Formats: sequence, structure tokens, C-alpha cells
Amino acid sequence: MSRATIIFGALLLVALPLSLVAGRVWIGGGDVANATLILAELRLPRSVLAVVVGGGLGAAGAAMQGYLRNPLADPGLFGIAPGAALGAVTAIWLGLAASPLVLPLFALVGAGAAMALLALIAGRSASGLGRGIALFTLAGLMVASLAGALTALMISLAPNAFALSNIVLWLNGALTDRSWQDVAIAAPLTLVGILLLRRAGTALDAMTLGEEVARSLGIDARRLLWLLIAGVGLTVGAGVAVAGIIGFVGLIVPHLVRPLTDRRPSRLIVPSALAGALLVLVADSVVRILPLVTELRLGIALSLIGAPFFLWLLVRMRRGWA
Amino acid sequence: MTLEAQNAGLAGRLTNVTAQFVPGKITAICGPNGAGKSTLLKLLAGLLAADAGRIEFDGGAMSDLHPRERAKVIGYLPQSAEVAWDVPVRNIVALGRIPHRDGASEPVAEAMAALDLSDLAERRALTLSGGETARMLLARVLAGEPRWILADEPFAALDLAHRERLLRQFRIEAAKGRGVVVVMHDLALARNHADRVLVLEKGRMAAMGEPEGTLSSALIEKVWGVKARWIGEPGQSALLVDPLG
Repeated sequence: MSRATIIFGALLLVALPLSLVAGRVWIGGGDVANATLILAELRLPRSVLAVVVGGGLGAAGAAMQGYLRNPLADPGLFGIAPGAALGAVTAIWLGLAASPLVLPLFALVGAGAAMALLALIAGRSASGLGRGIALFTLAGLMVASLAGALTALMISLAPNAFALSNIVLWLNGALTDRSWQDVAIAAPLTLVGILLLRRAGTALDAMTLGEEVARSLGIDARRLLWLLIAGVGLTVGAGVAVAGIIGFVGLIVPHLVRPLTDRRPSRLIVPSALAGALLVLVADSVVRILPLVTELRLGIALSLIGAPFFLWLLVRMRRGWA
Repeated sequence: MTLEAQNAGLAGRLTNVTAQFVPGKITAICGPNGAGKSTLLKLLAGLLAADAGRIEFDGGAMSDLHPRERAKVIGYLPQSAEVAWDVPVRNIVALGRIPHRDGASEPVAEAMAALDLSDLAERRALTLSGGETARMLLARVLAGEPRWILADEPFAALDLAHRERLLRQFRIEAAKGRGVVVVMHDLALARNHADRVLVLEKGRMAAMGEPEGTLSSALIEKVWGVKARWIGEPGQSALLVDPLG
């Protein structure tokens, strides 16, 4: 077990019970039955879901940065999150979101469609040309903008004000009022996704010297791409299905983890999953106890942290290049 | 342990190349820009597939070899490899073991020692100088203990001392029985250090053979369009180029 895994694992073990205590209703003393209910049915599933969603996003971010050999890469580049969002928005638009299973299922179908589209493009691209990754990234961006445009179209054609506000609220991801059912949907998919991304570790290490060297080392470029599509698709798709769009976690987390490792991409995936889990768990606990009239949406909170961090990163990299 | 191109070609880039490469020898691939040198090297490395003829390895088609088996016997050193992450030198060199899936540390240590990198093992790869980086990237190839070393213009950005260092290492590896194929722009380097030279011109073979006889003034004028003559002793020749026009 690496140093980074131990550090973020330990921090997560400390943060998890603390997150259960935090909230509008402070747990501790008093009404035991009520407290048990809040803990078991509201806070525990919410905290577990934060761990699951954050873990998936962190691992996906680490794998994407390794694959694209770029510290500014984000799992969003594959267009899977916008695809999942489009699916979820469709469910709300059709008025089907009242039943708790339908929205996540629609989101998963959306993520699956984005993955299928990418796989179709990946299956067609000649693996021997070296420009595969750039082409593929462009394809991902196009899938993302297509899904984004369709989502915007649905917003502008919203059947009523209620659906409109629901869509907009949902797009700013959150973990409010989630249940064990959401955990049951997201946890297995995310776990399988993280395992797939871990399997890509050696190939990602080989990518350190570029795609050509990786192939000369016997790495199957197409298998690596499939692992990435499936792994990122499952982790990000499952996350969006239960929590909506939560940005920046996949981008930030690998940067927090990298200095604690030897910087090999393979050594980044598991600690990034743990650090992502920690970040979302802490952020969700903080938005819960902030003294605001309505709870700040988790997606907005993380973007408020994430965007300045990204800018700081760009400035630092510019200095490094100058 | 043979490596052969048999009427190998790739549409628009290379036509009808037939050549036998010999283990234990250094073969230089020379030619003007765009002659297809890198393309030929990538065909030999199995990174590109010939669409005409074939590349033969040990009597079988290269394309039939599993990529990982191919990676065990052929070490490929590209023209330039940008190191994406600031990992320790030791971990870069250890990438050479990936095809073997053994994580063996001994060949890695040996490769680093051979290229005087042992003291730099824990240094971050992005803090190395250009010459140190070139040594690290060659050590990565050696760590895989390949039977063939295919290098694409490894001297391009190197100072004199580092160039000699790499050439000496190629000679040591050839003496161990490894086949070494190097794309070279510098004809004097090819003539002085290679055992055989293959000259490409516009995607076709112009000549192949011993460097002394092959790289004649007449051939240089025909292929490069430059009037030039050799001076100096064999093994220490220099090319004097007449001003163009």
C-alpha cells in the first residue's frame, strides 16, 4: 500500500463518522429513536454516496490525465457526464422523475449512449496512426457539446416552470435526500469502473513516454482505450445518475495526490479514488452545515472551489514553462 | 534471429524495400528528409504494418507475432520522446520491463549502470539535461534486454560527448550479439561507425552495403544532390561538401 493510499484512507476513516454528526439537526444526546432514524436513513446513505461518487470521479480523473498525458484533463472530456445529464433531464422533461428509479436509469442510458458513440468512433479509428488520442479527445468534446446542446434545447422547451426549475436544480449536482436505493445503483457500477481503470495502470505508465513507445512495449492501444471508456463511463455515469453534475473533482484530486506519490499514473488511481471520496464527503458535509436559508448545491460549491484552483494551476504551469 | 524486409512497402511512403539486417552489426539507415527512414524503422519495429510485401522475423511474419512477444525482442527508441510525468529516472528505465511482466530490478540496474545513470536513479526525469535524458531513454530500451535495438536519429540533439557515449553503447550492444539499426542523418557518423548502410531515396532503396563503398561521392550526389568528397582515414573520415551551385 502506498503512502498516499494510507494517508487518504486514514483521513477518510476519520471524516466518515464526523460527516454523520454534521447537519441541520445536530446528533448527540436527546431523542435516540429520532437520531437513529436520521443517521440510518438520511445521513449514512448520503455519506456513503458521497464516498462512492467522489471515489469514482477521483479515479476517473487520474486515469484520464494519465491517458491524455495532460494534467489539465478531466473525465468530462469524454462527454459521458453530459450524456448522463441529458438522460436524466429527459426523464424530468417527460415527467417521469417522480418514481425514484427512473431518473438514474435514464441517466445511465444517457451515459451508455455516450460510451457507445465513443466506442463506435474508437472502433473505427486506425490504431496505428498515433493521432488516435487527439482525434478521440475531439470526438469526446463533440459528444459533450451535442449532449449539452440537446440539454439546453430541453430546458428551453420545458413543459412547465416546475420541470424547468427541477432540471436546473438537478444539473447543479447534489446529494440531498438520497437513499440506500441510490447507493445500490451507484456503488457496484462505480466499483467495477474503478477496478477497470486500475487494470489500465501498467498501460498508463507506458504512456508516460508517448503512445508510440507504449505500443513498442507491447501495449494494446485499443484495449487501453476500451478500459478507459468503460471505466470512466461506469464511474462518471453512475455518479451523475445519482448526484447530477459534480464538476472539478476529477480535475483537482489527482493534483492533490500526485506530490505524495512517485507520479506514476498507475500509482495515482486508488489514492485518487480515496482523495475524491474525501473531497466530496467533506464538501457535502460543509454545504450541509453552512448557515444559509436553503442548502448550497454541492455541484455549485465544488465549482466555486474548483474554478479558482484550476486558474491557480494554469498560472503555476505558465510560470513553470516561462 | 533474423530481421528482414521483403519487398516491403507502405502506400505513399515506402516502396519495395528488400533488406536483411544482421545481428551483431550496426546498420545505419540514411537518406534525405522524407526518404522513408523513420517509416522503414517503424515497419521493422512492428509499429506500422506493411501493406505490400512483409517484414520477417525469425522466419515468420512480424505481423503474426503477438505485440508483447514482439516487444520482448525489439527495443524501439523514437526520435523524441516527451516524458509526460516527473517520475524518478529508475521508474522510466523500468518501463522497459513491461513486456516481460516480471518487474525484475537487476536488468534495470544494469542498464542504468551501463549508461552511468546509477547516481541519477532517484532524480526526477524532468530535471535531467538533454544528454542525460537521451541516456535514460536508451537505458529504458536496454532494460528490456531486446535482441534488436531500433533507434530513430538518437543523436539529433546531442553534444559531441553524448553522441560518442551513445555510439559506444551501440557498439557494446552489437558486440553482445544484438542487432542495432540506427537512422542517421550524419553521413560521416554512418561511414565511421556503422558496419552496413542502407540508403533510401524517395521511399525506395538506393543502395545497401559496406559504408566505405556504399556512401560514395557519386551516390551522395545522386541521392542528396550535393557534391561532396571524403577526406581522412577510414574510420575517421569527414565529408567535405562543395558549396551548392
